[in-house]
Amino acid sequence: MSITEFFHMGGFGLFIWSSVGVTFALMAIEIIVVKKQHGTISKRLTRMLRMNKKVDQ
Amino acid sequence: MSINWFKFSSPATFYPLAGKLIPIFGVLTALIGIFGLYWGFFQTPDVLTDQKQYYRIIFIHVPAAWMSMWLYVIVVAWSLIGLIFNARLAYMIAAAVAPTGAIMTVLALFTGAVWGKTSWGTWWDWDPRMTSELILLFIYVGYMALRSAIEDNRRSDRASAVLALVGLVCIPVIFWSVNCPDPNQCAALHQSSSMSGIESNILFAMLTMTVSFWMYCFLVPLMRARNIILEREHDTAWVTEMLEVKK
Repeated sequence: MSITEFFHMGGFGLFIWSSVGVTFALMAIEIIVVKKQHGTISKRLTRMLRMNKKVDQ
Repeated sequence: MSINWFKFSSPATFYPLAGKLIPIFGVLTALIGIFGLYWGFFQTPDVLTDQKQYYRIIFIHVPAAWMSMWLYVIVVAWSLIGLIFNARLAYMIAAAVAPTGAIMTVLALFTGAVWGKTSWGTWWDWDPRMTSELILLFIYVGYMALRSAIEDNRRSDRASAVLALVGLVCIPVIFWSVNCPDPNQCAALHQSSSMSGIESNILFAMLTMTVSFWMYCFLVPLMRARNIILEREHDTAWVTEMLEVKK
């Protein structure tokens, strides 16, 4: 089976690859968003901590 | 060996444990997924008696659909544990699982529509299976919306847990929408979910992909649970200590 044949999937390539593609895209986006959230929360909390310390001093 | 499970009900113990498990589930998701896709695309027949290549959507569709229902059961289970033991970590895990469950439902509906177009000639039909799966998506969205609508964490935990319990009624409806004892009584377009008669390589690839999706459903909710814990426990001594060490 050649590469073109593989991606063509007997004429159903668009259907099959869009299913696979959308799945990977959504999964990747979910991971990236959750990871980014973690960074944002950690940064905010560290900043808050620093500010509280300054106030205490 | 006896494990003190109650120890893990403390966010301070769970947080680092989840941090250690995340890379393991990440690697498992990727490796098993690559293997499953390889098997599904290279070790299976191109054309079946009644379906052509498009049947390969099964390797995404079935795992996503199974996980959409399974994750809802998990959300309900953790909500129930939260309600019974008044354990705040249980509510947090339920909240962490729900968005991934909603994504699995979207994937099941999308890949189902694509498969429906090739196999039945239509993207959508108000068939019992599809309709009940769509309702499941609305329940997930309702659960998440209710959580974010109530400011007070304790109240939002309990309210959303009760909503999750009520929504559980959807799961048997989805299951029996195609598996009813008398086929004449539920005329579904969607085929019944019988495993018999399925070619062994296709079954193997499908089950492998299911394991990969399952690992993913541990991976992301664990990551999200850590975010929720950080957010909610930010004024506790252990979070302060941890952030100070990190600096």
